[in-house]
Formats: sequence, structure tokens, C-alpha cells
Amino acid sequence: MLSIENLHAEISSDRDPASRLAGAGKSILKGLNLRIQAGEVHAIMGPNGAGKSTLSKVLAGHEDYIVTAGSVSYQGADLLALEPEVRARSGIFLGFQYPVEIPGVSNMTLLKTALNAKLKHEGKPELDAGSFLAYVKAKAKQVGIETKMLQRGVNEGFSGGEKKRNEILQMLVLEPTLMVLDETDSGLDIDALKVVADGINALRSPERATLLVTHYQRLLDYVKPDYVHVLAGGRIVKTGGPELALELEEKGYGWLEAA
Amino acid sequence: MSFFETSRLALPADEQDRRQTALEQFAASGFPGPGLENWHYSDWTALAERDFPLATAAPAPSFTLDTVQPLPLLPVTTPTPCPAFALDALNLAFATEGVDKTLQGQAQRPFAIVQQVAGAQTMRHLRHRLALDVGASATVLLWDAPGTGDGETLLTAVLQLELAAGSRLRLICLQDADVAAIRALHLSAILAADAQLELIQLDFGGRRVRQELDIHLDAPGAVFRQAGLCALSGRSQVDQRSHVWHSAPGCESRSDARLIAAGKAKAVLNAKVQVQPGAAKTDSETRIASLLLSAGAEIDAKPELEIYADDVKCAHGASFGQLDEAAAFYLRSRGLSADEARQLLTLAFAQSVLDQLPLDGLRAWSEQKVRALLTEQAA
Repeated sequence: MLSIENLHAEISSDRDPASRLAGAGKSILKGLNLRIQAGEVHAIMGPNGAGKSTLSKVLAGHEDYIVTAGSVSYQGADLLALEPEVRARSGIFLGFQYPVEIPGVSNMTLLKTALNAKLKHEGKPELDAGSFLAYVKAKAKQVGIETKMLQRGVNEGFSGGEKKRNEILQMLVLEPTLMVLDETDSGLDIDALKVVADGINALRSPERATLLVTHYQRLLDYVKPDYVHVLAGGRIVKTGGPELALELEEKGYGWLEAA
Repeated sequence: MSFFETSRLALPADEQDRRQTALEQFAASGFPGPGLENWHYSDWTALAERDFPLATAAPAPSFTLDTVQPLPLLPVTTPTPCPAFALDALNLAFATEGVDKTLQGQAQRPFAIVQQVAGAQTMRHLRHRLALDVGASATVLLWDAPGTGDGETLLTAVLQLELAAGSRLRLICLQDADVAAIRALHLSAILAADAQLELIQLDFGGRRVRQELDIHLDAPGAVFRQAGLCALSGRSQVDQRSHVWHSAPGCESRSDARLIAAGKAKAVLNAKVQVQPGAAKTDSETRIASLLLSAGAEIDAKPELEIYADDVKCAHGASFGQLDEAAAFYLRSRGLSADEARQLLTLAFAQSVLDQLPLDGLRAWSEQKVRALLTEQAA
């Protein structure tokens, strides 16, 4: 489903100085290789600054990062050639580490516009107002978000946990093919973590794949990965099964970087 | 020929002396510009070199709101001068008609005052007076509508409002003039005890537009609430000045203004609140938020407070920004196109004002206007 070959990426220095990220021009990913097949769950762990978030943003098409070498193919297409919205409509979902607050655009408007964009892309008819509402309400219940919160601005005034639940709600509504979750588990209490994990597990299927970027082993107690990768210094330095996550929890990352 | 040479020949036949005096007065002061303290951001002095014959009739409005009833224009007699308005003498010289109405009771249907100028290179001057009796309530739409759009037109309008005790007026000022329109509006209001004026301003067009508000909260308990949206593109210039006078204790004024400029448009807002001696327990808040959509656009926002009383609560503030790129990416990552994302974010910025609109049709139409800002900019 996803094939990443020799990926190199750096922080863009194209943007005007006011909006440019610190460290413009700095190279972050340095020859990353990863293959994900349908039905698989992959976890990427690694120390701070290893490039985990960069990888998720590059996959989603964020303009703050530019790819300097390598390729990414998704369902046989050149992913890097696609605009972010086309990637989304083609089934890639990025769960944000820090979901953005957008006052004035209601959650309902976002869900409806996003779902319709996807259905249109697939050549399917839009849902009528009644069916859409019933569909969203059922999904919201699944993640414990009250219907009245959906009338509020996107993530507006939401707590950290509510924002992450909202990410999962959007994911459940959009039913992506490839879920890329960028530290969706960070800052969550156990209850919220279970909601997030249940959401991911609900979408697990032989046709879908998941890429979990995480710092901690905790989420992996609830979402069993098929593969665990260690990302360090911009490339994957070790790959194993779920036991690798436990080993990392115990030993940290130092021993890998030293190796 | 210059403006003053031709306009002397065009003075309306009635009340010639009064009109003559007004025109001489205007000729002496000339068209306003940065020489005047209040006209720092707009320069109309060059209009003295133009020639604007009086328009003969108004064209039909480009769309109708069937839920509103138009107020008839009546002949202007014994107008009250409005010295704060730099174009008042011009208006006094030429205004022959305007709404003159006292509203009573609870009006169910909104009223409308439609202002338009027909033809090209023509001018029109209107002078309105609107009063609300004790306890009356009404909604009025003052609509500065596009004309035929094939040339520069000049319109000045004076609207004098008197709100008796306990009356309540919701006034929607919609300015959607065409790209060559020159417009000057002066709106003054005197509020008696517990009277309430809710003003919603929507500005979407015009080439050069000047709007002035003088709101007098003259008796205890008077309330002025204002929500303004100025959403401009192309080469539109809208310059707004407002002055709210708190002259009695226990009055309230709230203003939420949203300025959006795309293309080479320019929006100016100078909003002043003045608390007079003795106006204790004044509660006032002025917020101006600005959104620049292009490098060529300009917004000047100037909130001002002058306080001569103790025991008052006054706040003011202005903020500036561009579209939030992080929010735009977030929306795109959910499948919305870049254009759609920018439109939604622009609309979101305007939402707090659009939410105040009582007429559903007007709200939907206004939302389309805001969405179109980015398209017009690209064109």
C-alpha cells in the first residue's frame, strides 16, 4: 500500500521569514525506507528530534517540509506529486499531534465538507442532511463527544483529550485507507487513550493500514502492532515485532544510537 | 468645467436661497481630504475637477428582498444641518428627497431605504429622517445598492435618527455599491432613556466610500450595539469614522468590527468613544479585528477612548492578521481544496457579524460575498 524509498526531507526555506520554521534548510530525514502492506499496523518509535513528526507531515504533504531525494508510492501512485487534499481524499488520514483550533468553522461543517469531498472523489453521491447527521451522531457517540460540541468551532476551547478524540471522530467519519497518527496518544489519560485505541481498532481491517508514531509503549498495549520500527537520525535503524517496543521502554534509545 | 462651475447651474429650483448659501459654503471648504483631521486616510479633493450632473431617476434594485417594505422618498423641507459631516453643505445644496418617517408600535416586517444612482458620471443627494416613538420597535435596511455600473457616480446621504424612550431600532446598513461608486453617508442618532440602537454594517463594494457615525447616548440606560463587516476586494476603499458620545450615566456601547481587505482594497476604521463628565457607570467595549488577504491591501484601524468621568468600564483593542496557514493545512489534510479552506477561514473571520443578521436571505447572500473575495482577488 505504502512504499517509502530512500526518503530525504528538510525544513523548507522557501517560505517568507515570518512564517518560516526555525532550522530552515536543516535536513531531517536521511534515507528512510519503509513498506506497509494492507492490513498491517506499524509503529514508529524514536527519540526526540529523530524525524517522526516530519515523516507524518511529509506523508500528508505539509509545505513546511521539502523532499530532496527518494520516493513515496501509495497504492501505486506517486504520493509526493499529490496535493494534500488529494492525498486526504485518496484515503490518507493524518491524526495531528497538535490539532488546530479553528473558531468560526464548526466541527459539523468540517466533517460534512470533508466527507463530501471524499465521496465526490470516489464518484459517490453526497449524503443527504438526515443521513449525514445520523451517521455523525453515531460516530461521535463512539468516541464520547457530545452532539452539541459538534456545533462549536473546530477544536475551539476543547481540552487536550477532547482534541484527540475529535481527531479520532474525523477519522471514523472519513474511514481512511491509511491512518497516520502522529503521537495521538501524547498527553492522554487512560480513558482517552482507550477511546483513541478503540477508534483505531474499529477501523482495522484487511484493506486498511495504520502507521502509529509514538513515544511510548503504552498505546501499543491497546493497539497491537505487527511491526515496530526505531527511527533515529532520520532513518529506520531497527525493525522488530511488538517485543521491540517493550525493550525500548526498558532500555531507552541510547543503546541504538550508540550502535 | 469644474464641479463648482457646473453644479451652480444645476441647483434645484425650490428654496434657492438656502441651497445657494450651502453651495457657496461647500465651494469655500471644498471636497474633504487629509487637510482635515478626520480625513487622514482619504483624499477627495480631486473631485473638485470632475463634473457630476444630477441623476434624473433611480434604477431598479438588482435584487429584491420580498420580506422588506420600502419606505417612500418624500420632498426635503427645512433640513437640520449636520456640521460634523464634511459633505453636509453639498448635501444640503442638492438634496431634494429622502425618507421622513416616524415609526410607532412594533413593526413586524422590516422596512427598507434603497439608495441608488442612475447613469454614469451623475450625482444624487438624499436626506433622511427616521424617528421611533416611545416604546416602538422596528428593523430597517438601508441599502446602498449598485447602480447601472457603467461610470463613476456620486451619492451623499444623511440619515438622522431619533430614538424616543424605550424604543428599539435594528438598522442594517448594506453597502454593495459598484466599482465606480463614490459614496458618503453620515448617520447620526440621538437616543433617549433606555432606547436601543443595534447597527449592523455590511460593506462589500464601492470605489471610494466614506461613512460617518455620530451616536449620542443622551439619557440613562441607552444602548448602542454595533457589528460591522467590511469585506473589500479590487480597488475598493471604505473609510469609516465613528464617534459614540456617552453623555448620561449607565449607558452601554459595544462594537465588534471585522475588516477584510483583498486585492488592492483599503479599509479604514477610526472608532472613538467619548465618555462625558457625569456619565458614570458607562460600559463600553470596542473591538476591531483585521484580516489582510493580499500584500497589496491596506487596513488602518484606530480605536480611541476619551474619558472624562469616573467609575466607568471601557475597553478597546485592535488586532491584525493573515489567514492562518496551520488552519488551512489542517482543513486540506481533511480533503478540502486550498481555495475551499481559505474561503472557509475567511468566512469564519466574518462569522460573528454575519450571525447577527436577522434576514436569512441576506445572511446567505453575504456569505457568498465573503467567499467571493478570494476569487475576485485571483481574477
